[in-house]
Amino acid sequence: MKKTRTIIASALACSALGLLALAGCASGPDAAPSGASSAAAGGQPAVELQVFAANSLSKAMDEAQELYASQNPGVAFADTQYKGSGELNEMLAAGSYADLLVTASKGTMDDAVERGYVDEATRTDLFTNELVFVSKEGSALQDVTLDDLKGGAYSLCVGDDSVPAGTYAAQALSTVGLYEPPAAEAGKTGAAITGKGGAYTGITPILQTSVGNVCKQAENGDVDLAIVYSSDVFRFGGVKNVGIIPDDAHKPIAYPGAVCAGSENAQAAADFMEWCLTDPDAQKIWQKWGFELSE
Amino acid sequence: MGAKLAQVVVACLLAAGCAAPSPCWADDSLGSVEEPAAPIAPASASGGQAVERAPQDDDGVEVSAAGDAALIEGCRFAVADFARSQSGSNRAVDGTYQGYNYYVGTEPDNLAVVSTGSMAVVYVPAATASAFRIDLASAADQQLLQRYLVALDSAAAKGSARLEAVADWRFTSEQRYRAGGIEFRFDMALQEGRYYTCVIGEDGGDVTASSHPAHAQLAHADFGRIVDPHAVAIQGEATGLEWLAAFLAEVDYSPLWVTLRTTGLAIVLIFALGLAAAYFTLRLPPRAQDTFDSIFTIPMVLPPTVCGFLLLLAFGRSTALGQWFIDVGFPLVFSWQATVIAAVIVAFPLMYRSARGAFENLDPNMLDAARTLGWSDPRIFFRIMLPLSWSSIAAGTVLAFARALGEFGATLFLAGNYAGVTRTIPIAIYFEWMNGNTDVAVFWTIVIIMFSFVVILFINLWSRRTTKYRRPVADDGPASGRSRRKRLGGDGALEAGVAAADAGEGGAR
Repeated sequence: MKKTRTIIASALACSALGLLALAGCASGPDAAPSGASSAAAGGQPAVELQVFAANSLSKAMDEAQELYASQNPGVAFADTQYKGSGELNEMLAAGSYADLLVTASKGTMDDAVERGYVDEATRTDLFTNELVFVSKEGSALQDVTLDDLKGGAYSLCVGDDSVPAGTYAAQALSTVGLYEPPAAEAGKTGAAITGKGGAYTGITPILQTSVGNVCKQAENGDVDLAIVYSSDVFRFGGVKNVGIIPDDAHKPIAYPGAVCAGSENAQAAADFMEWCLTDPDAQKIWQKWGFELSE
Repeated sequence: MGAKLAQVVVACLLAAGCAAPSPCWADDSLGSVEEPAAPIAPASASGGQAVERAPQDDDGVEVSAAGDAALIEGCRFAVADFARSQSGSNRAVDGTYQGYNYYVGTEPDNLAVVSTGSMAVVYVPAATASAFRIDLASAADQQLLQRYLVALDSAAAKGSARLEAVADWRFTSEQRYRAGGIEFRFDMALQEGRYYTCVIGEDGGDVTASSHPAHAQLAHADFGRIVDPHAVAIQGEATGLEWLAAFLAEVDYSPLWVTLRTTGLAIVLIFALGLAAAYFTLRLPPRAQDTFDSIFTIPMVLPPTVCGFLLLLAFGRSTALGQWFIDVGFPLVFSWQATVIAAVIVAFPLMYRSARGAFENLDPNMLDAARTLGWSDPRIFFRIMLPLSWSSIAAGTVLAFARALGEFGATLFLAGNYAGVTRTIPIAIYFEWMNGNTDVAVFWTIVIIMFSFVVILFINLWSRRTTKYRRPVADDGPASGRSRRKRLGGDGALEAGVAAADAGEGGAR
């Protein structure tokens, strides 16, 4: 029996060694990027910003970060997480670290404020966007309106409750009776509801977990129509803008940004946010990708 | 250096993999894959030939692959530095409301066109117009400009509203142009050395507001410069090998390293833990054995998302354990270690089950015989049990490796998708596809298929080599080796076992 223990002990020692190696390597990936950026700064203390941004910002934000990092050699960016705004909040809940959070709706940012993930004093609206119908490139559809969806002639894809584009879509669809808000909001439609927790009636849309996935469904031709932001049309290509959803059918689309409560680089994050909003070169990037700066 | 090495390795792998079906792959990826970097009008879908592009639908306008320049053969001017703005900004510039504005650049004298969806206002700076003898009143020149702009705009539109659809075209070289209650202002130096194009109500109001009497839905704007045709070199789209080389040079190879690191470390841990667990459970009383067996096997039965979710709950900020890990500066969630933990948990049962099955099938008499000869347990384990069950263990290793390599659900939950840290190849494939980089997703798919094939082939070859003793010995008759081993008992078994141990030593150690 003792011998058995010896064997188990040796096997455990083996795995413990592995774990040690794991711990040893842990500093590796973290150290590499900051090392690179401090070299760029010529020895100055470098800052690495971790940004959590709404999925729709993916390509534009990458370009902006690249430009900002080249203008400010002391700042580097970790791999930015582009997810549905609700998912970003869940990641923060699970303990992931971020310096700056940019969501695609006031509601999701309210959540983040309420749950203490961000510093409310730094909250600023950064961008606005527009909700549109898209279909696969080359589709014959055009000038689609909300009313056209009645009767279920078209298959539809929208974001789920965690995706701001999905809640805006639900608000818009409620104005033509295709979405039934939950009991607490009974009788209200459009901008008056949150677009969460209700049910679609008379239509069964496919639900996706980020606006990028929603757009993909249309691009693949899995659905006739998808409701996404106008910036997504340009972001992916492969889809066609076939109708604009009137902006009074849903809450105003805003992208609030705020510095995260646990940020170790709060000043650098706030500076970057200010730059996004005021620098003409940044504006050029946003206008290229279809994000209107917030007033 | 790592990146360069990666390129070479991957290029070699690719070359090897494509050797047989090479022409198809290279062509396929050109034809079927979207290339966001080079938006070309859909007419060019047939791909390949740079010469065949564009002209077809844009009546003789050659557009560069990057979409920033265009040339009409024989025309006395060309367009360069073209950029499309999907939207502008209604934000005040330096505190003053300037209308809906587009930032153009640091150089004055830009060609500009602003579209309201129904009307397009084209601005050609007076200096440019006279330099290139462009008469904005002449239908011929208007048509030339229109051809240029439509071609460039269509190439850059990617499914958004196009100039092509606009019926009402206006041409001006005035910096302020009024139409329908709207004033278009071009080449405005709103800040020092910064030139803007603005759209504002004649009354100075915001025309994008639906309450404004001259309300206009501003679709988009295009900017460029009119240049000498000789100054424009139209770069065709790279084709075939050139395209492949450019593509391979641009790909971010970090998912490969992350995957190798994760899978390599995970398989070492799984190997050790799986053998230990199999050995350990066999020595327990039957009831405890069943319980532990269920616990060790359950990650294989559960969907990976459940494993990921439970791990996230266990190690996340919301639990004392997770908080403790965060406090000691070793956060497990969304870190590189998390990929290894997820892979180990999910792939471990495969190793454990294979090893246990192999150990159970060993002849207990043989082990007892070894004990009577005074062999220690470690010696029995390493010299009899391991070599005799080696082929099963190797099979278990292959399966566990495959599972760890392909781990997606639990990894995404626990480790997320951080490029260079936790983005493994399976996660890269999903997110690259989702982000519209289908060609990169295809690339990683090919890499992972070839990589898996090579590794499994290697393990199979190795395991065959280390189980040589199973093959009939030349002077021992063809079938007797295998069948005799099964019938063996007592001393004979020990003899065979020891012989096997000697044969398999290289593999076991």
